[in-house]
Amino acid sequence: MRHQKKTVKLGRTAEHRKALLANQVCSLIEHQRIKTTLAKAKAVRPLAEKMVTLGKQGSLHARRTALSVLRQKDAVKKLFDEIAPRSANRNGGYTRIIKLGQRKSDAAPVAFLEWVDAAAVVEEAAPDGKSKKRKSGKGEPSEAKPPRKSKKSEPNE
Amino acid sequence: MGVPKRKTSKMRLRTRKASHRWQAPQLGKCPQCGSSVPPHTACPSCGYYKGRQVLTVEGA
Ligand SMILES: [Zn+2]
Repeated sequence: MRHQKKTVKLGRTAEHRKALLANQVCSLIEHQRIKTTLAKAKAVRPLAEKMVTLGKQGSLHARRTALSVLRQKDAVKKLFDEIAPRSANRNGGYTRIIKLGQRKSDAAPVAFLEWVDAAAVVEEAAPDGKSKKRKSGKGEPSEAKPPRKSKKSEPNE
Repeated sequence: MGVPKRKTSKMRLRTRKASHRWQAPQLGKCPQCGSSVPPHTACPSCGYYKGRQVLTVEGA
């Protein structure tokens, strides 16, 4: 009987769902914080926390178990070397979901999924803007772009 | 065939329809900037949630 064995199906077949969740966890490991729909964030969270538990065990067996789920060596390495050790004093609850309201296009509720023990990462739009500005400054057509620059730079300041 | 015995009175109809009335969303106030925010949600106008900056908002 599958009493109380809850699976968030996300409208996908089992293999599609497993691949999606593994990819999401790998992205979370790489970027420390991901922005997805609330349903996906809630589905990813248990898997992400289970992977941290494996990371805290630290054994070769745990590493291979994590690799069999995530299928990305870089992500597993970072999980075991960075993310699991910094949550060593925490018994579960390694991730946090922050609701961000509804998406404009399809009104889907969107959320951030992030590590609780990560240093506070504010979504950094400024560095990208700066690099774009530098590139556009180096670019040849200078007449068309300066007004755009000023529009972009003012709201940031 | 089962058929209504009585015409539905205006009152009965309107009482039934009254339960479908639209209700405005319950909004709270952002402690940081004072704008209206849905509960348990990062403020879309200043990016604060639970006393810390969660996201950068354009033009804030
Ligand atoms: Zn606010």
